[in-house]
Amino acid sequence: MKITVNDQVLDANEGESVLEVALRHDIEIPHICYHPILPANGVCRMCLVEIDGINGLPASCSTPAADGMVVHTETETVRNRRRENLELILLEHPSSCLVCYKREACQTFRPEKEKTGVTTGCQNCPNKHDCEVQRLTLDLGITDLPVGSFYRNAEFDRDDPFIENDPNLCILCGRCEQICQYHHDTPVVVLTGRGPDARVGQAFDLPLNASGCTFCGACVDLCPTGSLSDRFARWYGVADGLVKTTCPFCDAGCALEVKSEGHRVFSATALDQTKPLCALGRFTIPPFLSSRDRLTHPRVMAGERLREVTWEEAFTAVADGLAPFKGDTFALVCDRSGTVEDRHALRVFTEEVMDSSHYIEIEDGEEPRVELPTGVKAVLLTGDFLEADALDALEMVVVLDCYPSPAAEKATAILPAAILLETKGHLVDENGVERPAKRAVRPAGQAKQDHEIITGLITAMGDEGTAGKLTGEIETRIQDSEAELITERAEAPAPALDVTKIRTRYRGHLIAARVPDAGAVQPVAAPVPSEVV
Amino acid sequence: MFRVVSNRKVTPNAHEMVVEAPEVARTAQAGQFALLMVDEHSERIPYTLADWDEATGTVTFIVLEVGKSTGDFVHRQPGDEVAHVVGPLGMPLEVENFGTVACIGGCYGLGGIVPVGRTMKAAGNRVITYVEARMEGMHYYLDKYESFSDEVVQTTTDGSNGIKGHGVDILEARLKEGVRVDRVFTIGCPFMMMLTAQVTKPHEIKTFAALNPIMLDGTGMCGACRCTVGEETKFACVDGPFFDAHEVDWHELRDRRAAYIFTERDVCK
Ligand SMILES: Cc1cc2nc3c(=O)[nH]c(=O)nc-3n(C[C@H](O)[C@H](O)[C@H](O)COP(=O)(O)OP(=O)(O)OC[C@H]3O[C@@H](n4cnc5c(N)ncnc54)[C@H](O)[C@@H]3O)c2cc1C
Ligand code: SF4
Ligand code: SF4
Ligand code: SF4
Ligand code: FES
Ligand code: FES
Repeated sequence: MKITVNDQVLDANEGESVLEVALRHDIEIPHICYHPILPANGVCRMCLVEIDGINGLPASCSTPAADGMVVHTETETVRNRRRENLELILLEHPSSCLVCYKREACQTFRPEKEKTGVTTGCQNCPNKHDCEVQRLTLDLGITDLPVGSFYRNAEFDRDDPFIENDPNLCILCGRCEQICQYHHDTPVVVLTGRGPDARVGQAFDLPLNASGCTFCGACVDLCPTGSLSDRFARWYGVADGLVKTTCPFCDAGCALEVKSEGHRVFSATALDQTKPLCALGRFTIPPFLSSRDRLTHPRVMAGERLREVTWEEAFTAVADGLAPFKGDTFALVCDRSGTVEDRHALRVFTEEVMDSSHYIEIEDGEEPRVELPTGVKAVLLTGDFLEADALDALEMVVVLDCYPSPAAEKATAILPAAILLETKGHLVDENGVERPAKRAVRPAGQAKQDHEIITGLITAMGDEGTAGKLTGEIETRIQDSEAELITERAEAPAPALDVTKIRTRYRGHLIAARVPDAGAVQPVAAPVPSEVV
Repeated sequence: MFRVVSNRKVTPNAHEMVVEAPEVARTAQAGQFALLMVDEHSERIPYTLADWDEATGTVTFIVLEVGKSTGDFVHRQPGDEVAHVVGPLGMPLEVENFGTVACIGGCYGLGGIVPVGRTMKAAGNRVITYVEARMEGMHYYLDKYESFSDEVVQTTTDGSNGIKGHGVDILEARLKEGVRVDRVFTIGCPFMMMLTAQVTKPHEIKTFAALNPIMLDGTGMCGACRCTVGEETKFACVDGPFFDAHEVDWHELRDRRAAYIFTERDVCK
């Protein structure tokens, strides 16, 4: 099939729309409501074109290409109507920055976005640095509106976990509703109300967690405006780091695109947008990494108190302390959240260096509280895995962990662990396939990855041979890795469809204790309307 | 404890907060500010005194919700209390009959400009008040401005209310026409105040701007609020907040205000 667009003859495929054919050949037709993974919606009227033999100005996103079609995208009529249509959108949008004639001077003086409670223009909009509406406005050269814009003054919904919804910025393109339906069959966010009251929200204005939302964040990702936004990421600026890696929270193996600014991860989104992520992958990584309670410095018991020390001092103290416990009086307890390399190092340390048979690795889904084999007097814990009385019976507790726990309070030494996107190596997915884990940011404070800490310890114990061999093995393994990301998922991961399947603990710690929103995603009963008796 | 008397949303992102603080109300003068702590352990946050009433012992603040502390404050309802209101702080403005005075307010300065204009009027000046906002619905206090101004010029960036544009551009156009202005006072965001300074400088009109660097103690001790004015280091809390706008290092002010941006973002979660 061939169609002609602006005098260029283009090949077209069965089922493709005129817009899709043009875009595939790098001919830009402005569009807002169209998104490649969604069926055409035809509501924004930005993609209008002229087609010989067809009356009026059809929307190119919802017009199937037909053999011999002759399309014009830049005629005077098309341009004018396109402009008018965008102007109509802008009239119900806080457009002051778009039409401000001081825009350039302003952007030179203060290029950063300005954090604010309520957005009143691009300068203080979460979308400031990446906005389709803004880009189109500039592209079409709109610098003025026939009349001033109208501010809806609608309630800004900030009470839901992770997601904020400012209906005053919404342009009613419907993408959010469409993607939610696409992922979950019944959309949670829907266009409600009419005329000036039209907005995006949930049926009966219920909170998201009473409406069946799984917090996949797809609506936030596809919203072309600052209307739906990610509360954590909202006020970050332009990413200076971008990494593609495997989600480190569970074994579903979802591939993430991770953004960071100034060594802080601020957002993680699905690499394959055709499948949703779960609330952990999409929203929980940045706040879990950056919580103030992280263990960030090595500390060693000195008299009655834990004192901050250098890594060298910590290694020596732990090595000396553990020396008398070689054999089965030592146990190491970890779970499967670390990389393959980290767990390998922990096992080698237990079995070969400490000569103990008590390498205890908690399986995913298992109760994260373990009972120690009898005779154990010293343990190294990589998380919150022991009850208080089990701890009391021990002579030495070494904590290699990321957050405080009852064990950390009783510890002889605390070794701060790098976690999640601060680590690199491989993660094993639910089918047993190794997936790459890339480091996206440097660890919090002085934290180090488990295997680095373990080799440090082994060295301090005088076994440089084993330490060197282990480091060498791990480095080669990572360097020679041919592991691949899941760039196209066959199916959505289970927790992205059912929030009750979302993992609740990481290294034995309740995730919700550090990131309350992660707990709030669990379904709640719809509040009973007060007028119903 | 200091009782909140009223909380009125005046624009989509600004609240007029009236708080009982008789000691502050008794001695306040134009150009001064107060430090407010919402709870016993909250941050100390500076707010311009937008009005006060000695008789009722109340002070008025216009609060733009931009982060944690301002958010906590605007969520206080009438009858609720805030832990501390300390003030008045800063140097009062020098008041004289200068002739014609232009008062330019934007942002929270739409409130902050009120005592300035009123005091200048009382001293016999002709007062022209320029109030700029982004859009319709973001102007308020028109009656207050009218009570002390010989003329009120309202502008919006998008033209949805008053004249389209920025207050300072109207001033510039008039200066070019030869209209005489003897003093300019401006309160708002650093960008607007910087533009004002740029417009009045070639006309050699003394211009004072209320600087808003980050402040901690408000007593001239901590140094958080230091600014460079005419090559000299000044502390905005005790030497200001109003300074000669032609001498201010605006880029330094901007950079220092952004110094804690990462923490400020993270506490909003
Ligand atoms: C003399 C003076 C008068 C002011 N008058 C008003 C007013 O009348 N109304 C109003 O809404 N705002 C006023 N401000 C600004 C106000 O103090 C800040 O907006 C407020 O501190 C922000 O606190 P936050 O925790 O809500 O936001 P944050 O998230 O902490 O900060 C947002 C931005 O506000 C500024 N800021 C933060 N902490 C302080 C601080 N301790 N002191 C000064 N600025 C800070 C920074 O530039 C920061 O980037 C004034 C500031 C000064 C110095
Ligand atoms: S959504 Fe886009 S155009 Fe609208 S205020 Fe935000 S940045 Fe500007
Ligand atoms: S987060 Fe996902 S499930 Fe929830 S409303 Fe958005 S698209 Fe729907
Ligand atoms: S919330 Fe965003 S995606 Fe949804 S209709 Fe509005 S602008 Fe479109
Ligand atoms: S992109 Fe075609 S109508 Fe919106
Ligand atoms: S606020 Fe501390 S010196 Fe001014």
